[in-house]
Amino acid sequence: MKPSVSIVIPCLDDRDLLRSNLPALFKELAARDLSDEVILVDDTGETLLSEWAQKEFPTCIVVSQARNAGFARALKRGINAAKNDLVFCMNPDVRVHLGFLDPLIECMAEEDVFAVAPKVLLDGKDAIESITELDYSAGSVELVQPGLSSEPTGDSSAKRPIVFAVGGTSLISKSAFLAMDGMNPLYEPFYLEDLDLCFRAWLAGKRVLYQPASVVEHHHRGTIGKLVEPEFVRAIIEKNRLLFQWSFLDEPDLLEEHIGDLYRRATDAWLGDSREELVWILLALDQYQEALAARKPASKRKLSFREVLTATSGLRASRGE
Amino acid sequence: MQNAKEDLLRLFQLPPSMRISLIVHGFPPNERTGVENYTRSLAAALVRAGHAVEVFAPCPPNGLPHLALRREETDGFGVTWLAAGPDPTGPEEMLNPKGVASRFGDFLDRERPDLVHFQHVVKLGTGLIAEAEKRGIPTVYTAHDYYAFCHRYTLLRPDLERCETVGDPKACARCDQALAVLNGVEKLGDYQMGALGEQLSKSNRVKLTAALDGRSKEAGFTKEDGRNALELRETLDKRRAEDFEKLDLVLAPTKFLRDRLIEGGLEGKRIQHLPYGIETAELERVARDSAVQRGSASEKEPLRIGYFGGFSKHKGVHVLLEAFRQQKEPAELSLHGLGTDKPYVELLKKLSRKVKAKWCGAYESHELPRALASVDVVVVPSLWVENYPIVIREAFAAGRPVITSNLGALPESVRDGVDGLLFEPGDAKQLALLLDRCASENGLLANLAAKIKRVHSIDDQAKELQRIYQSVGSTKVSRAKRDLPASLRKSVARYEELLARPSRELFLQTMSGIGELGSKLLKKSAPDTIELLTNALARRSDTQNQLRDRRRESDWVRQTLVEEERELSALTQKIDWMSEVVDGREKAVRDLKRERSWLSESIAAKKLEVEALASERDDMARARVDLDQQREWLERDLAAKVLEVEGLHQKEAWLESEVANRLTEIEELETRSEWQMETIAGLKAQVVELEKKSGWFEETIASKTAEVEAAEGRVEGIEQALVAKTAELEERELAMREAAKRADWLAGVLEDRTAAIGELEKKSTWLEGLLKESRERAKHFEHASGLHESARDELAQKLELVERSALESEQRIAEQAETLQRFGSIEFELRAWLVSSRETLIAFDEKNPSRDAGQDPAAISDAVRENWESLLHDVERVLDFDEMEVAPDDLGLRVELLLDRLDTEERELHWRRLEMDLVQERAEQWIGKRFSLLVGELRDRIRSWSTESGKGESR
Repeated sequence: MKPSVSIVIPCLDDRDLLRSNLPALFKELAARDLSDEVILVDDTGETLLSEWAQKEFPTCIVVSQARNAGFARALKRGINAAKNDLVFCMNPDVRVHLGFLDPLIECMAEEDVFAVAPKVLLDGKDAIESITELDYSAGSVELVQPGLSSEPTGDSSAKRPIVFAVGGTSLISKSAFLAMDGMNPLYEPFYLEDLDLCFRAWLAGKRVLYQPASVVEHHHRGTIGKLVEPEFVRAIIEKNRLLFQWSFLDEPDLLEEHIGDLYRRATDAWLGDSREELVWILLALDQYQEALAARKPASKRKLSFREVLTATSGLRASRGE
Repeated sequence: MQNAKEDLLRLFQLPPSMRISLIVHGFPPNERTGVENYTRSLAAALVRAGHAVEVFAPCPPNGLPHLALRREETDGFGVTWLAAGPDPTGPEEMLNPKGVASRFGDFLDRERPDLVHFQHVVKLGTGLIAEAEKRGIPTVYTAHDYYAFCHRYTLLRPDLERCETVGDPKACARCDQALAVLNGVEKLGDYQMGALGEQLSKSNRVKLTAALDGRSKEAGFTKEDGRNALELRETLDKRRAEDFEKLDLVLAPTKFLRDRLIEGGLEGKRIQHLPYGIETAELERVARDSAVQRGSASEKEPLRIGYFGGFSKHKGVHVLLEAFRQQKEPAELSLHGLGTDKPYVELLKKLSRKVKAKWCGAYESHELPRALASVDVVVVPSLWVENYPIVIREAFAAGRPVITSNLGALPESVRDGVDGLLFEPGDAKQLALLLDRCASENGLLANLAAKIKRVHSIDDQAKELQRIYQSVGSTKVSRAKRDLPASLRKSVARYEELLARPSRELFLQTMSGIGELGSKLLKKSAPDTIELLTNALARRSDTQNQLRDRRRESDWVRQTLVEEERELSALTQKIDWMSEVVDGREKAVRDLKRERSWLSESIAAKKLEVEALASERDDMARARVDLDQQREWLERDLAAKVLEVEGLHQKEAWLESEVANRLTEIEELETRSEWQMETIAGLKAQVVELEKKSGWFEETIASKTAEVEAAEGRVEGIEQALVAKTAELEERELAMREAAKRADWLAGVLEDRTAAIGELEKKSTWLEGLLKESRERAKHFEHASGLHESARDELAQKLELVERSALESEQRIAEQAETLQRFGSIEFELRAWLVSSRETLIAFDEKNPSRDAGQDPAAISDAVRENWESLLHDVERVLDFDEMEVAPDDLGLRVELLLDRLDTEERELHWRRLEMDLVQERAEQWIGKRFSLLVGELRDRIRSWSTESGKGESR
């Protein structure tokens, strides 16, 4: 018997996107004809969606946040409200292809799988967002999405491990998610909290997979860009990237290399008038203690930082890197 | 390392309450006049008040690249120097020098001040205001002058006259054009403020005045220049006004200036009156320690006058020097300051030497108290509408009264007769009187000094400004406080807070934070910061990469520049060569154009000449045809005349034969009458006399003939010349008309002659018949006595007939003489005279067969005939005057000769007429006498013959 799935969609005022993308989802659910559910988490803080959804998508469950709390908290709220253990986390700007759920569910059935990501086609075209790797070089970690690169990405049609499943398009287990206490608020207001979550899962011996048999489209029309300048978004990403490293870099040589590189970056930024970079570092330094607090002792990690990178850099490894 | 960390921490633990940037067009030590020194004092005061101050000011390049920024720290505040290279090249660059605003943006990004306080933006540009506004940084502007609405910021025109117009772009455009006139005057020095009349030539003064009056043409501008200047000025004024509108607050040190700013278009509610403060501590010590003492014990000491400030024309230093020269009371004048207007400074130095004023030159701020202590009174002789001269505050703080121009905001600072004295701006005489008054009037200066109010200190003003800064800063709305989702607010606020920090602070804080992080993450055995940094830099350095990239880029650019320069040099040489070629070509073209023009004119003239010549040629051809026709006609006519003459010759021959016959008869008559011979002898004597006259006539005619021959030669020349020249043609035509007239006249003469000959022939016939009849009757008379009486009657009748015939002949002679006189013809007169003489003689001979002894009629007749022939020949030659020996190419000479000849001929004609009159008169007398005598003798003889006949018959 096929398991039912709860689809949790954290939303701001994304009614247009929902109107555009929910029908495909409901078509999928109708085809499945199970006890699936759609939970809209209204994170506007203004309960905009409840009445609207009653009219346009009456089968949707709307969970309203009393105040805007950001993606991580809204997602957690929605997952808490889900009746099924399998939860498909979905952003409002994602449009699913018919039959996308079953391949994901199949992967989740495998042992130690924490999350499964479908093939996410950027803007519905060939570029694949959901193949994720990490690159470490000279004291700094870089996120790599080979599916977006113009270079050959290897076999993107095969199921494979990835470093993380993008929070807006991933199938997870509610129980596993809650067991890990959900997403880390360290990364608020947005971005890389899904990386953190999945990396923690990897360190705990779980796996995160990419399932190309499941296809969704990401029509990138996020609402954050409408609210803040791109420089601020970049600053938050950079801050979170540092926090991620401070949370997970474990071996002394990596840490020494990283701290040395931080000094270098600050010096280069000062000498090169790149004051933005200084701001990024300072933003991260504001939270460095929280990041350090989240670090797990080696005894509680099944894999090291390097081992996770090795386990998830399939495509790069296949290229001999 | 540890010390450095501590220093950084100390900095962070004592954050300044506000970060203030002061922007000024010059700053000590590079610039040391009013606003610059004031800004320095303000910076120091703000630092003392606990604020972080950064000054932004231009400086001479001193080897730095154009627009390079260099920061240094002094007296607790930072100064960022902008290396300002070349001077602006036009009004647009004057308003906003290229690249400066962008570099100011870099400064703002680095320093991230909480507020920018502009002191002056001249040389820097109003674009700086926009840069601050763009970054949301609150702005305050202190108006030290009129720059907000006067691009020359002094309300002073280039002729150093005060501008009474505020905000009229037309007047401002004229000002620009007037300044452009000064731009064209070499060796004028710093003329941006204006030029003194004596610095300009008369023509430039005229141009300058014309430009300011809007008489573009006289100023050397076109109407289009005027329109362009106005358009540019309107554009620039608009841009400046837009930038000034971006200011949050404008501070006006005087009420006078505040009113002018409002008049100039600034919003009144954004203008606040705030007097300056100055550094007073040291100056007040001067007031205490060396107060003005004139009027008491040392009243006989010379008055010590001081000038402090810039040596610029609009400061009126030359007025002070002139007043000092005119002063009567003992005084000393010391001049303190510096100037960039070299010609004006030289002029002042020259004047100073002349009036023995002390030239002290520039002074540092710390030297001012001592300098002020050395003077009794300070003079501020400004010619421009001064705002708030700091030197007045400084003098007051030092307890020195001030004498200043009664102009602009100066009376707001100096109360006339209270703490200083005022004089009309530029009035050296009045200033001299005031200075003499200060020198001579007991206690005047001390009284003025005593009433000086306490001067506002810079620290007082810093406190006032602090309140103003905070109020202005609070009007700026933080981005974080705007309507954002709650989950973003905190992050955004922190982000903006960090962004608002100076780069220096960010860097120090970052380095410190990394150190802290490292201390938590790294083991104690880990390398220290320097080693970590060194290792990291050894692995990678963005700065090094950038530097290398820049160096490579720079090398490439340099190499490219060298190549470009080489190419440019080659091109320049080529251009020079081409220019020379072009110059040569242009010159050649100009020469060719001139030549073409000259040729065109020549061709036009030649065409006209050719046309005229063609016309002349045609006229000549026509005239020649006419002349040829006339010549042919004349030749024909002449031939006819020759034939006629030949006929006449034949007739003459015939007459001669007749005369011979008559002579034969006369011989017979002579044999019959001795008294007739005596009579003839008398006649012969008269004929001898006539012959003498005739000889004289011959000689005259011979000479005339020669002249006529010469004239004929010349006439031939004239005829040839007439073919070429119109003028000659006209003369020719005149001559031809004369010839035609003469021909007509000759025709008439010939007709008359023909008629006369006819008459003569008739008469001759009649006389022959009569003579024959007389002879027959005489024969009958001799043979028929019976018929004596009837024959006597018949003879009487015939005698009457002869008498009547003689009378008729006499009348005819008179008529012919009249005709001759009328026509002025020598020939006709002679011929008529000869013919009639001959007729008379013939008639006489016929009627008087007996002749006096010694009177040979044949000889008389021969002589007369010869004379007649000769005269006739002469006349014919006179009439034929075609050959004139005159050079054909000298028309004037020819005409002159012709006229001479005409005159000569006229005189000759007149003379001949007179002569002919005389000859005729004598001939008439002679003929009349002889005829009467002969008639009487004939009657007597006939009577005697009758008597003898009667006797014979009776016998």
